[in-house]
Amino acid sequence: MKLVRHISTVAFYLTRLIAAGYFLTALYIILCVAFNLPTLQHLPDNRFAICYPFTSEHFLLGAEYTAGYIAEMVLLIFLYGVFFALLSNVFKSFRPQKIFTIQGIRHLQWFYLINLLLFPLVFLILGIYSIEDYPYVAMITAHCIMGIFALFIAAIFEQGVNLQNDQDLII
Amino acid sequence: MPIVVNVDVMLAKRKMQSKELADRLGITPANLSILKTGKAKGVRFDTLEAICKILNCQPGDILEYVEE
Repeated sequence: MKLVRHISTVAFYLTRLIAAGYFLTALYIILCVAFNLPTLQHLPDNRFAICYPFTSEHFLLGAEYTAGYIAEMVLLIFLYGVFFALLSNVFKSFRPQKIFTIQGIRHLQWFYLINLLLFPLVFLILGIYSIEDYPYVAMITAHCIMGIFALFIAAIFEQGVNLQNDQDLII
Repeated sequence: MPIVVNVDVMLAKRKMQSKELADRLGITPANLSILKTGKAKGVRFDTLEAICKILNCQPGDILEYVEE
């Protein structure tokens, strides 16, 4: 269990950091576009690029400078921020001495709900309307598999909480 | 539950306080309370042995079957 605790601690901080990066990137895009900051560069063919702050080095490239495309870009980046934030919560569940807790179940429930419902729905909509050519089927499949695993782990946690409660009543 | 825990009765007979018994058993007063109120799902043999030793009694003095 010590190894699991160490790995989950590292994974927790790593995923939290990644989530913060995604959220900040989403916010940065919104700020660049809303205030037309110098880091927003308009390229030929209505394409655009967003540079790293205070530099002219390209950070993000956009295929079409339209409100719809930018909204899609921000939404996807924000959603992956949410994904990593929820994943970090799942890792957090494995850190305490007492693993099977109601809070752990709640974290897993959020994680499987977002993977089984939100991501497939978003990718389905993007698959129909987006101009970007992402491998949507593979992405939906990957999220569904993760969601199913999380669902199973949540069921194990529920069983664990019940057994632990019973165990606590054996004096 | 048809199994009644008579720790209270034995404590009164031995003129011992719950806290003292909990201390000597090495369990929390809250857990002893769970045992006394019949909310416990089970008693370990170790615990039963220690209770019998401390209260100088038999398991039958602690546990009783009462038909519902």
